[in-house]
Amino acid sequence: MKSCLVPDAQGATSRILDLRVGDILLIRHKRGGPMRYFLRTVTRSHWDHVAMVLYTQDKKLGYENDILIESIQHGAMSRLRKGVEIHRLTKYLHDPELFDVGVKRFSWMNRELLERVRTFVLMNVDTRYYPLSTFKFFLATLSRSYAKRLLERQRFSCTGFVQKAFYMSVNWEDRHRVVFRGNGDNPLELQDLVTPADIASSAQCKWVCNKRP
Amino acid sequence: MRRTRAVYPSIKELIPAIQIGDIVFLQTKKALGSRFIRFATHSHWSHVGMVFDIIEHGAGRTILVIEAVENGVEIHRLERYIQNPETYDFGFKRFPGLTEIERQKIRALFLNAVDVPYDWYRLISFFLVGAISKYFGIDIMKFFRGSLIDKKKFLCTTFVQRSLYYGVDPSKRESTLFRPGDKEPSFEYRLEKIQPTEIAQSKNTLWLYHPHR
Repeated sequence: MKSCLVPDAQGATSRILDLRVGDILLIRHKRGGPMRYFLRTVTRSHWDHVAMVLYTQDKKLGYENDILIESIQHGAMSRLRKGVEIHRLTKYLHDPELFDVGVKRFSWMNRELLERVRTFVLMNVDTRYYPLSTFKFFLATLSRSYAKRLLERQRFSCTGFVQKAFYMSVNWEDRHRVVFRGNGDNPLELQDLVTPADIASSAQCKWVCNKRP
Repeated sequence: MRRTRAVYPSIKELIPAIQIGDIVFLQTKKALGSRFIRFATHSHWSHVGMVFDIIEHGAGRTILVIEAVENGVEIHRLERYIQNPETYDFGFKRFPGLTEIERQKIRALFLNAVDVPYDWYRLISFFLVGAISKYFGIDIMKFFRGSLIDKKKFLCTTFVQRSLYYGVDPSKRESTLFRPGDKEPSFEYRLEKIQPTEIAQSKNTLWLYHPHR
């Protein structure tokens, strides 16, 4: 697979080529702390976070940066700093020691559908984050049966947000084409329980760069 | 100051009329920082932002506000403020006569500003220098003005002034200044040293809702 990551003079990634609105960004926090580690272990994935491209660089329109939207919890006072936020993509690119980024895409979606997806995510700016319990995820790394039970009921905000955006935006008859988990979940379950690993392994969307399980 | 009449007497009438580029005034009622800014600037308002985008949907309109806050330039839903009247008081002004092209340019400027850091150094310095000038009668501002300005960072007010100034057609730029009669010889300083009260009192903008100085 051709790399679309463009390195800068220092060897860090300065931008990703040919990004499109609605592209799914899979992110690994290389120094993300124990919760990120437990999440990757329990889901057996390289990735621990998901975001979506909201605006792409467009010199004609004067947009100088790629902008993403994500559901995330962070900051010293996490009680006040959690939910759906808009940031520059460079936040995940400038330091390869901190992050690894991959891109997936629903290549069949036209501009009108992607505009609907963008409208949906913008309507949900500031939506709160589902809390994840570090302790429960630690226990899940010790027991596969507990991990299975946990993943059957734990809601994931970052991936749930991306799943809902596509599921709610496409036409009724196309919804099955944007479902990341193909294991017979009902609509409520499939929108809430999807993990970064489900998106990474889903055959519904195609890898654009940095393919990892 | 004589009480000005607003174009829209209620939020219900205001919401359908809001446009991209409108200026949002905020007062966080119980926050200590907000009280201090209001006391120091003799204003009802402690913070300003601008309308970034309006999402039209079946249930009405979702209005997104962009603002320079303590963590940098962020985008939030207006509902966050409207739905908490016990915490926030807000008003709206408009720079009249913006064309569609100018609004698009202002939006591009907004997008380029996402995640730009807040200029804490300048905020604290302005208050310190202002206090020294007031209590010791020494105008030390002229010695510091150049070093206080960092154009790579924003205060909430300078974000609004710069977005309007650089967003409109060059022939209209002078008319966007909130300190038009200022004898200050440094143009940069005129563009950068703005308080919420000066935007609230400026004659080049029109009160849409809830006028206060």
